[in-house]
Parts: sequence; C-alpha cells; structure tokens
Amino acid sequence: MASGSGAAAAAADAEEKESGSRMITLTSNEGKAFVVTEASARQSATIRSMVDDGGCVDKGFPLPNVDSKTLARVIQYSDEHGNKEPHTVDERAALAKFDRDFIAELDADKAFLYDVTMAANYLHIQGLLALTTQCVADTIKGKTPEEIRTAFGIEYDLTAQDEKEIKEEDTHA
Amino acid sequence: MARRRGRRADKANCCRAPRKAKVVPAAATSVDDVPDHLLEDILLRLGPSSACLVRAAYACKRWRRVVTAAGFLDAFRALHGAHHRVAGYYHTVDAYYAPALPGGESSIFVPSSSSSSLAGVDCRRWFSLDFLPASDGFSWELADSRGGLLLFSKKRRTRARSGYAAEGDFFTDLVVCEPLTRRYQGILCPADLRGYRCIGVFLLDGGDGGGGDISLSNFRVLCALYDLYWLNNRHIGVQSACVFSSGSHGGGWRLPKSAVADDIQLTARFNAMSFVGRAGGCFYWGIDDDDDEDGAMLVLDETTTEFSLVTFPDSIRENYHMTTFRIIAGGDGAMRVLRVIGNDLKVFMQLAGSGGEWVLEKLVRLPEAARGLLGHEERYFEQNEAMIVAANAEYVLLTPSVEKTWLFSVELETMTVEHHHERNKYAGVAYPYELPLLRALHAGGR
Repeated sequence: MASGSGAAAAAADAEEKESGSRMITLTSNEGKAFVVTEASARQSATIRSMVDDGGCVDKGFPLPNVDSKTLARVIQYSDEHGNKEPHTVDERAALAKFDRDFIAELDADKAFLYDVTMAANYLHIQGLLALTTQCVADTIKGKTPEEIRTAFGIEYDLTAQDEKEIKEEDTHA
Repeated sequence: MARRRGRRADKANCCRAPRKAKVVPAAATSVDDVPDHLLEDILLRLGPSSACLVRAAYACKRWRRVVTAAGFLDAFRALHGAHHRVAGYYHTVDAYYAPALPGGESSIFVPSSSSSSLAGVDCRRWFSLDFLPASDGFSWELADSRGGLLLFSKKRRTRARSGYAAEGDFFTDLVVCEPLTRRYQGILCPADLRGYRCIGVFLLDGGDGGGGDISLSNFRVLCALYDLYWLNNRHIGVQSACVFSSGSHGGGWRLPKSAVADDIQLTARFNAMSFVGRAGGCFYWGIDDDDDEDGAMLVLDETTTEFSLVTFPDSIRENYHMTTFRIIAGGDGAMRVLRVIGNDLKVFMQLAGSGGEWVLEKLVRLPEAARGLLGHEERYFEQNEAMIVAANAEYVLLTPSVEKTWLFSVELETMTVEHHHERNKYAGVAYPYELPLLRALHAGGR
C-alpha cells in the first residue's frame, strides 16, 4: 500500500513536472508561431481553460486577435510572471521592478499600450490588464478635459447643447 | 458661438484626415479602439477622488456616456469608498489688512487637510481659475461659493478694497464657474441697474426645488442693491434685491419690484454699511452710524428677497463696529453672533422657545489665549480691540489692530487659539469649496 501510494505520488509528480516543462505554441494573426512554457501560457485564463479542457495542446493555439508584435510583448510579461514564482522579498521586488520598467516602456508608445491592453483583455491576463489599464488611468489623472482630449487625440464632439452649457454664454434678461 | 463651431468644422474637414494619414501609421491603435468595457475599467481606476472622473466625463461624448451609464458610479463607489466632499477653501486677501496675493490673483486654493480624496492631486493647478475670461483693466473678485460653484464680480484691477461697501461698488457683471470642469457662465448686469450700488452678491441653490445639487444648470444669484437719490434736499438710500436664475426656461434676471420696502429709511451713507454674515437663510449688514441710536441692522431674506431691520440686544451690539461683529451659521446650522468686546471673543446664541433670549454660549480671552504663540507680543492686545477678519462655522480669523499681519484663528468647537495653520496666512474671507456630486453630472449627461 505504502509503496503503491508512493508510486502514485511519484507518477503525479512526474506528470506535474512534465506539464510544467510542456511547451505550448501560440500563433499570432500573422501566422507567426511563439513557443512558450505551459506555465507562461497559463498566465492567460483563456489558454488555461482551453488546456484544462483538454484542448489541442499539440496543435497549438491560434490567436486571431493578436498580432506578432503585441504577442511578443505579452509573452515577455507572461514569461516573467509564469516561469518564476517569487518567494523571497528580493524576488518580489525584482518582479515589481520588472512591472515598472515594462509599463514605463509601454507608456511611451500609447498605440502599442492600447494593443497590449486589448490583448491582455482577450487573453484574460489579469495582472497585465490591471497594469495597463492603471497606466492609462494615470495618464488621465490630474488633467483638465482639454488636456485629456489632447493627450488621447480625442475629437471635441460635445453637442451644441453641452457647449451652450460650457462656453462663454452671456445671459441677461 | 457660431464662429467657434465653424472653426471646429473646418478643422474636422481640413486637418483631421491628412493628419491621421501622415503622422500616425495607418494601423495605429487609438483610445477610440478600446472597447467600452475596457474604457470603463480604465475610468474606474481614476479613484479615489471623483474629481478626476468628473473631468474625464467632460472629455467627449463617449467617455461621458460610459461614466453616466447605469451601475458605473455604484461600481466606482464600491471600489473607492465614499469620499469627503469639502475639497478646501479659496482664500482671499482683504486689501484693508494685507497686500494683494502675488501675481494679482484674487484668491488662492488651499486644500482641506481632511480631504483625503485629493491625495496626489496638484491642487494649485487643479483648482486654478485661469480659465476665466480675461478683460483688460478688470479682474474677477471672488464674492461667494456654494457647493462646487464660485461666484465672481468684475472689479477694477487697481482699486483697493475694505470691508466697507465703497462708493465705487457699483453693480457689475458677474461670472459663475465650476473650477473642476473649468466651465463658466457670464452674467451681464441688467442695463437699467448699472447705476445701482451693490452691497452683496450671493450664490443660492437652484430654484427647481427638486433637491438637486447646485450646478451650472441649477443655481441662482441674489444681488443686494442700493439706490441713492435726492429727495427734499436729502440723500435717500433705497435697497432692493434682484435674482438671477440659471436655465433656459424661465432663467435670467428677475428685477426688483418697484417701491420695495419703502418703510425702511436707511442712512444715506451707503458706505457705512458692511456685510457681517449670513445665517438661517438671511443676510445681515451692520450700519456704522453715529446718529442712528437704535443700532438696527439690515436683513435680507433669501426666500422672499425682502429687506427688514433687526435690532440685537444691548449686550450683543454694544460698541458695534464692523471689525468686531460677525454672524455665522454654527456647526448645527443655528445662528451665532460673534463679538470682540474688551478683547474677549464672545459667541452668542439664541435660546429656543418663547422670547428667544440671547445668551453667551462661549468665550475666550484673547490676550491670554494668544500668549505663547509664535511671534506674539504683549502690546498686541494692550489698547485696541482685536479685529475679526473673517468667520465661518469652523473658525474665526482675527488680527490685533496694531499689527494686522499677525493673523491667528480661534477654532469654534474648542475655542483654541492658534497661529501656525496655513489658513492664517491669508487675511480675508475663505470660501469653502465642495467637489460637485456626480449626481449633478448625471443630470448633465442626459
């Protein structure tokens, strides 16, 4: 009995090891294949559920909504968070620093930031989504409506009714 | 307005398409491509202050739609908790006590220390009033605040000001603004009232009675006016009030009825009147007049917009002077009279019930209480009465009359005296400013 259960545990252990080292192929909408560890891929709740449902792990996962450039950046995040599990204070600090640098780089390229945000949303990578949406929110913070429009390239589209309320309307009897 | 709209149309027609094609790569993603539910996620992260949210809602139609969508505000509150509404005070400086603020500003915003909702926000910039229309030779002088709105009157830039209504205080154009969204509404003085003197302009809640918050689409302005004319070789002053209401339906000025309150014969010395405070829906002016034995005060009721006279008991009005007399609504909303008599700061309140007897509620002896404060000198309280610079439900700002730059304040709750607080840096009225409620935004978003 004892040896049997020990064997079972060893088998499960081996399976887990195997699944941990199993590689998964993600394919961008341009047909480019990215091979990642399962741990990295599991950062995405979308892929995780497909893998757990016994999906076509071997054939890989086509991602028709994500282009290669964006996917590469998303994988950079997933690798860092999926392949390393921070145990010590230093490791956690290193991961936090990675996040800061990662988002600072994205912040400099807003169009790309939106692409990554939408990919994170599509792939359900909660940590990455929180990081990118907070980054956009921080850009909004402390700005006037005019400054927000400038920063985001938003056309002024308030109606004449809104405008009437807003702009120099001198009123007297 | 037409010109403005035209310009925008031009811009849209001529510049927009080429700019997108040239500068930005064709495939570049913009915030417009971000789906609504993600934009909602982003806007939810603007907390804890709702100030950022209100501004974002004025960026464009789509953002406004997301913020005003059902459930958004509930989610926002659930995430960030209820926030403190009093953002801080706009401090003014009375030229009678101190030189004007640097840069010629008429007011300066000081965030309330208890206002956690403004953490991390650059208040000086945030609540800047630089969006008000400029006009040569004139400046906008802060006259009142209510909720998230401020009321300004147009003043000649050079004129010094004191607590007394000066001869030059004619009824002028006004502006009501909402600093948070940087919107304003100009209100022209009715042409036939331009010659009137103005003894006060006040912001009131809107007249729609629905319990809605005061906002740029729901407010009223009450103007207390004073007309001088000669009758039988005597200077006669007649006071009147007019009200401006916001809104396109039934909005505009309601002019004073003729022959208002003829029974009140006021001193012709318009400049002897000084505003001493408001409480219980009434505004009060003290009258410095040696000939006037009864010591009556002028009262304007904001509901009826009618004037009357009131006389306080001797114990309250003894040695009346505008610098030693203030009326406030206390923390409980009930009226208080603040006096400095013999360098005691006294707080009077009226007992409920028949007779409504006035009693001394609190007292602090200023010379003793101020001793030990940084910069205090014995001579400050030796001869003359201390002067009340300003007062509100929270505190009274005072200064020794021999040294007008040494401001100190008395906390009304505890009657403790202190000198160090930032609020004691500005010798003038401090106008409280509240963040607009998002309910007001809702009304505007529909």
